Amino acid sequence: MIKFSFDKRTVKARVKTNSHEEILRQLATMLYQAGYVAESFIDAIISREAIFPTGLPTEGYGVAIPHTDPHHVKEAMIAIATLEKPVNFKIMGNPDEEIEVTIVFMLAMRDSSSQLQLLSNLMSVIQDIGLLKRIYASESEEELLAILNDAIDL
Amino acid sequence: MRKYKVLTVCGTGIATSTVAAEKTKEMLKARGLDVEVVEAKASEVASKVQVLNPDVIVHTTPVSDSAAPGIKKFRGLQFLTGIGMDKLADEIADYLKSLE
Repeated sequence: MIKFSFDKRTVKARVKTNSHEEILRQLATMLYQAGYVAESFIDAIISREAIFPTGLPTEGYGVAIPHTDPHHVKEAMIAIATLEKPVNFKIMGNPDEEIEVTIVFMLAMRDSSSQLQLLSNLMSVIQDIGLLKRIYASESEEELLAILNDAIDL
Repeated sequence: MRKYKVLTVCGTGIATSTVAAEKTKEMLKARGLDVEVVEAKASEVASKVQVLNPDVIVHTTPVSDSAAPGIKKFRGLQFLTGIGMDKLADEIADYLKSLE
């Protein structure tokens, strides 16, 4: 297992955004500019979200985990944004319902087997309401990074 | 006791079905069941069903009946959010045991 840590360039605290498409584009562009994904990742993530939505009705804080086909990805990374005000995402597996999302974890994943531990730790983060609260309360990228790197602990 | 076969399905087969697969394996094992879990993306369901002939499908994206006729399906979102996870695992375990 390769040591994983979040990248300051792909973490954003308290983003003001008006739609789920806008935040998807912003996060995907950050991943592209930092060199983790191909430019095609940006459109791919938006079109995939329309077909396979990724909103998760977690306790207290709606979370979304947008991701797309691995061939757009060069190196594994997770980009994160906390939103100043929530935007609606459709619920995974249940596209007729929407939830308000305040934290977005955008997954740039290459192959699932080598990233299982990372994914599994991320799911533990998503299931930890105390941790989500601290993530959401972070005022700066530095604070967010410290919490995340500590929480994912690989 | 026989080994049960579970197919986990998500949109791309890269993130959520992997997590759902691990959770399914772990939670059914804890309930005394021996399971083999295979992951698939939505577009592969019909072909994987033919090869594997699973006892159940755990999915995080809708699976049509035509892709998996006659196979019991469970929505696996609980394995991702953690809410209602034990109840879901109980339901799957009870269903599998009822197949004996």
